[in-house]
Amino acid sequence: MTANSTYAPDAAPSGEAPDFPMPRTCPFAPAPEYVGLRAEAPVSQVRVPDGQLAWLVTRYADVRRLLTDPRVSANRFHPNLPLTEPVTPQTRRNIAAVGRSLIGLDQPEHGPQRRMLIGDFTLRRAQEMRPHIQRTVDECVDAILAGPKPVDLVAALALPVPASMITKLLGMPYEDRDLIVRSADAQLRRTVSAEQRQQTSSELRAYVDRLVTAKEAEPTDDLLGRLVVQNRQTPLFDHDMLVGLAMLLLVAGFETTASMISLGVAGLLENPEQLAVVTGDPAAMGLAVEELLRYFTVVDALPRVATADIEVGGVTVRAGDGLLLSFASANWDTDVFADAGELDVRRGARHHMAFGYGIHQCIGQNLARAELEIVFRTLFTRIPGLRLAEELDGLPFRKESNIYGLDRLPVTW
Amino acid sequence: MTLVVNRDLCIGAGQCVLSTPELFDQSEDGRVLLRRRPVDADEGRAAVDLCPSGALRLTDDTRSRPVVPDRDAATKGWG
Repeated sequence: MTANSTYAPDAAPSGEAPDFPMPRTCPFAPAPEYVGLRAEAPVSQVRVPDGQLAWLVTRYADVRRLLTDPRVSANRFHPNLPLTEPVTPQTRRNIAAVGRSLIGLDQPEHGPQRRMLIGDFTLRRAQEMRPHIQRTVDECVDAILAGPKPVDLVAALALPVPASMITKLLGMPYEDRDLIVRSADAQLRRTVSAEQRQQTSSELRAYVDRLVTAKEAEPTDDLLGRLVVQNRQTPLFDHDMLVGLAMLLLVAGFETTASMISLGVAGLLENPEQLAVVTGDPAAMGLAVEELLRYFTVVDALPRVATADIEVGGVTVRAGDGLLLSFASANWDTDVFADAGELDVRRGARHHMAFGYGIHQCIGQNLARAELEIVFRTLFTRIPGLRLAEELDGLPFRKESNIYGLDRLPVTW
Repeated sequence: MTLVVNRDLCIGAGQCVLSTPELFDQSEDGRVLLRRRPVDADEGRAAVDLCPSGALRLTDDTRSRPVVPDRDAATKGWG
């Protein structure tokens, strides 16, 4: 699976920047161009769908350094923020909706908002969620075993598990899970029409608005309820910001985990010797999850903007320039991860950047770890003969999506 | 080298607790706590490297001391 094509900067006339995102050509590997970029042009210009130029940063050390550099801004309202998807009016509205909370804030505004939430995301809280996750996974596996073969594991497991988790966390009625699943699926699936996508997105936003309104009227004992109560003591969020924040947690906590579940299962099934390691030693699963996170890195790159001139990777990034920091490339940087293209569940590397780095590192990472561990352990223990029902290369991988994943994962046993 | 903990910078990622649970914990508010004084600075090195926010660092400044949580925090988050 190791990519071997190289980027040849001399082949392109100067001033002609390649398009970004760069498509994957192998189902498990990041874009093959990253190999050559890391070696020869670790900070180089690319063109994003709306025509803007941005600096693509591909080396681990540079990505990590820039993510803690105060001259690098996450401001979602900056006109030069390089967006990696075609910008529609709906996208702009979505960005505006979440941009005022957490993800789009720099210091000192970011810290107080983040601190209001982190009590709900400790390792202890993730631990307390485990019985709920286990129950949900067991119910899914019961249904899989009772149903026909082959089964689509995306619909049967990868979507319902994080949907159940996020509804519980945010304090949404359980029966509203379906709306989340439909909405996320519509956002990610390429065959869904733009109108349909817009419609489900608006539907979800209206739903979250009603949910937040209900929590404001009567705060319940859940993340949103507690946030409303805390926010009365120390007001940081207005209503629209709370809605944006709830949307952010919902989307960030759901689509990424769903993708990691389906990709992780596919990755382990395609590497039986690696699967044998984790099925033979339950204690190995924790670090195996870290390796799967590194290997697949479902969020390829995040956009940033330089607020001052910055020297990095042999170039000068000017104040106001857009930056794309590639986690997928950084996590396959052989200067940091030997044989990075090999899935090695015993690698023992926690310093990957699948959850990002710096002050914006994923707030839900320990919930994600718990979900992934329980899903993989339960699935492979209860269905030991699990195998892909179709050839890997023919599966519908989401090559163009912002969050890498699978539309469908047919398995049998 | 001395391990320095700055709770004001902590973003509650929990990487320190995952990597070195014998030394680090999180309080109810989600921020890092030292469970005890480190034997030496090396004991915290892995956590310092993983910490995404700069809340943990190693310093040569011999005047700095490891920050041990105050008593209230300790009773809530200790062990």
